[in-house]
Amino acid sequence: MNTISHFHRQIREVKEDLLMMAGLVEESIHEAVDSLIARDKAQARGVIEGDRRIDLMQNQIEERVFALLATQQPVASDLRFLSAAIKICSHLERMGDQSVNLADRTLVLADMEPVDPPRRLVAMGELAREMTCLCLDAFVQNNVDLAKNVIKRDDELDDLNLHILEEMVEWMTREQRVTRRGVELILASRHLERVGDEATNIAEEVVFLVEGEIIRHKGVATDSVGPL
Amino acid sequence: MNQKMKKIITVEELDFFYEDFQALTGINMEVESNRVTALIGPSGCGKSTFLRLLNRMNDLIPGTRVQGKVLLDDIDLYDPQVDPVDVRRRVGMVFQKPNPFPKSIYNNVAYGPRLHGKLDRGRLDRIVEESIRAAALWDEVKDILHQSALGLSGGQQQRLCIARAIAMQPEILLMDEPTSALDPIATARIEELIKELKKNYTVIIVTHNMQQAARVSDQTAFFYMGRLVEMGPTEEIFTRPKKDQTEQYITGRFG
Repeated sequence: MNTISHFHRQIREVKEDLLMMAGLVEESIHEAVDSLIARDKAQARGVIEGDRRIDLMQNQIEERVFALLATQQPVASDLRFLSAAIKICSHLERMGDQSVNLADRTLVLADMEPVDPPRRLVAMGELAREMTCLCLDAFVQNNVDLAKNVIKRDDELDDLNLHILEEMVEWMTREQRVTRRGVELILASRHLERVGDEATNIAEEVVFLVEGEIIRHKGVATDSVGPL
Repeated sequence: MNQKMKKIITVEELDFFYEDFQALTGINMEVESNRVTALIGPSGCGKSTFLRLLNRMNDLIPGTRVQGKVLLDDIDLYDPQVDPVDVRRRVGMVFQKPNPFPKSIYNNVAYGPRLHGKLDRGRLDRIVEESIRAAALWDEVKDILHQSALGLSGGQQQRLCIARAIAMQPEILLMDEPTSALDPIATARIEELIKELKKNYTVIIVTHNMQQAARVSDQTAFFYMGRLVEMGPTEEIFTRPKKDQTEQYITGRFG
C-alpha cells in the first residue's frame, strides 16, 4: 500500500515551509554580503526589510509543529524530525538576524571613506554562504556525511575570523583614522562567523534527525567544566 | 536503589501452533522482575497469544501446540510435571473487558484465596483490604464491600479485577489490553496503578495503544507476523528504534 497519512502530509508541509524559509535566509545572506562588498545601501535596506518575512515564517512553522506535537504524539523519526524542525527554524531565524547585522555594517561603511574589504572577509562570505547551502542540502537529503562536512568546515571560518581580527587590529594600530572602519569590518567578520556557527548547529540537527544521536557538546570534559 | 535487575522470565526458541497454523516463531525474550514490559504490534501479530502462553491459558484451546521453553525463574512452565493451576497462581491475568464475578466486591477478591486454602475471617479480611488498596480502589469501595461488584463503574470493575488477581499474591501480572474498554480518566488511573504495581510485581501488558506502551512501560517488545522483531528500553524504541519494521509500525507507516 502506498498511501500517505494526513499526518505525514503535514510533516511534509513543515519540511516544505522550512525549505522556503531556508531559501529566504540563503538569499538574505547572499544579498547582505554583496551589499557589503558593493557598498550598496539600497540592497542593505532590502535585507533588513526582508527579515520580517523570515521572522514570520519562524512563528508559522513553530505553531504548526506545536500543533502536530500536541495532536499527533509523534514518535521515532517523526518525533526527531519535528524536534529538529523547531530548532532548525530557530537557527535559520538567527542566520537571518546575522544578515541584518551585516546589512547594518554596510549602511555604516557606505557613508565612510571607501575601503577594500579584506580578501579574507570576501572568502568568509563565500564560505558562510556555501555552508548555509550545504547544511540545507544535508537536511533535504538526510545526508549525514554532508552534515559532518559542514561541521568540519566551520573551523576554516573560525580561522579566517581570527586572522581578520589580527589584520584589522594591526591596521588600526598603524592608522588611527581607520579605527571605526576597522571595527565595522571586525564586526562583519564576526557576523559571518556566527552564520557558520548556525549552519553547524543545523548540521548537528541533521545528524540527530538521521541517526538519533546528539553530537553537540561532545567535547572532552575538563576540570573546570567537569562531567554532568 | 541501583538494584541489579533480576530476570524472572526467560523464553527460549518458543514456537506456537494452532493446528497447522504457526502463530509464533522462534521467540526469545527475557523479562526483568519489577518492570513493566509492553507488547505491541498489529492485530494478529501474536502478542496476545504470546501473553497467554506465559500462564498456559492457551492450554484451554484444543489443537494447540507449544515448542521451546518458558522459564519462570528456572522452572519450565511447559514441563509435564508442572501443574497449570500452580502456574496461574504465580502468573495472574487481567483481561480486556472487566469481568467481575456476579458477587459482592468482597467476595470477588476473597474468591481465589478461599479456593486455595482455608483462611480464617481475620486473615481473609486482611488479604481483601490489602489487595483492594494495592489496586487503588479502597477509598471508593470500603463502605460498600458487600454490594454487588456489577454496580461499579467500568474503571472500578477493572481495578477490582486487578485486586482479585493480586489477592492470589502472584509474582507476575499479565494484562491483555486492560484499558481498551475504559474512558480516558479510568485509563489514566489504571496506568498510574500499573506504575505503582511494579514495585511489588512484574507486569507484562499487551496494548494496542502505543502511547500507552510509551507511558507505562520500561521495556517494549514489538511483534510482527508471529516474530519478536525488536525489544528494548521503551525510551529507545519510541525515539530511535533499531529495526526499520519497528520504525514503520510506530510511526504509522505500516500498510
